[in-house]
Amino acid sequence: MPATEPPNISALIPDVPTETDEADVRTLDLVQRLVERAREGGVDAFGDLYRRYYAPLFRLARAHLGEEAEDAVAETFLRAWKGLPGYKDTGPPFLAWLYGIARHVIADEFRRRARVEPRADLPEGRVEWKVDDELALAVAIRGLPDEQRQVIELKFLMGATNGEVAAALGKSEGAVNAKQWRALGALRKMLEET
Amino acid sequence: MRSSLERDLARWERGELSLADLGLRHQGRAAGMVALYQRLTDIGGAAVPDPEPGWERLRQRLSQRPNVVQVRTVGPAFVLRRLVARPLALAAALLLLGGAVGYAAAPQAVNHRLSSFWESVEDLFRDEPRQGGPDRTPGSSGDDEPGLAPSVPDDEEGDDGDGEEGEDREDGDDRDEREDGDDDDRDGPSEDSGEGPGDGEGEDDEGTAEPSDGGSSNEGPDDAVEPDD
Repeated sequence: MPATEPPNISALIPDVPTETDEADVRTLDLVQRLVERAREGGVDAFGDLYRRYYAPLFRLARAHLGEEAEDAVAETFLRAWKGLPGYKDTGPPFLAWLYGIARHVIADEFRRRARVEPRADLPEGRVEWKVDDELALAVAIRGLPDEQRQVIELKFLMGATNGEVAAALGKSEGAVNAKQWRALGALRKMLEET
Repeated sequence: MRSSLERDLARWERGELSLADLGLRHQGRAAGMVALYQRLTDIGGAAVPDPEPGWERLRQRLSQRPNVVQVRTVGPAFVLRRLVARPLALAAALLLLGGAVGYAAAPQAVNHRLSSFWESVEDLFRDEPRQGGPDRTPGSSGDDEPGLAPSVPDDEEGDDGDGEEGEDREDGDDRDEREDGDDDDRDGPSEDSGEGPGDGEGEDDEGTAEPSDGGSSNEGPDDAVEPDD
């Protein structure tokens, strides 16, 4: 047995009481129904989706943005709320759709930081944060090729299973597995060089 | 990375291979990968704040959006207007402008030939035959050279010219009205989507540019008369 079990998204999502009062609260079917009700303007259903996907999105945002993760999550859900009427369930899990929005929010935040905070004027606290191990890892993750980065972010930061990652990326589980280990190899190399 | 290492790491991840066996097979290479794997897993499993305060704040920011898809639809009329009408209008304006400039810049002899040509064309549609030919002497009747005898002939030709200018101006007004209408159409969805204003501004710029071209083309014939004086 490995020392650490691979993360499972269903286990990471907190089991919170919802208005739907369903026994199988973690099923995909329930998520689809919540999405449908949120699309029709159901704020409570959208609140359930928020509670379900808050943790994976927060971890993703925290890995890249640190303290501003909370704002990034709020912005992600705000954009999701606005975009829900145009959402179509085409196969990939709803988490993948949220992940796509979160990536844009994170990228926007980096662009904003680049405009507002020139590197030469970084405060001391931010410099200390820059040398932090987690941030170095996040920088290395951003340096990966797109698909490898997506695998790492979806699987490790957001807690998706190999099957969920495969569905999100439209790949086979074997391909996702291979990309995962290649990504880890590349990450290790990048971290050793820094 | 060697495929055997990938395969064994995958087996370790599935629980089919122990960490000790993995280390025995691949020594340090596997240990580094496993350490990174566990580090990432720890980050993914770190505690997160309670979502409820964040949801309460977010809930207040959620406006009751309408149950319509806020997608800017592009109909055939829009495509026709964008792809056909505007290039045609621009080409017509450029043609008029180029003709006017060319007429003004041409030597007098060429202008005279052109004037003669247009007079002969007018003669074709005239009920009564012209009293004097194009080569008559100055001061004879002045029908065809407005600069030499401005009284009666100028009224006739002036009317034609004014009428044409008026028509041009009306065309311009029509174009303006059409584009105003476009702007009105665009204003609605742009306010909703928040992406519209950029497009609308650009099209307004085009709209203001086109009438100025038409104006210059209207001025062309007047300029062309001056050399005759």
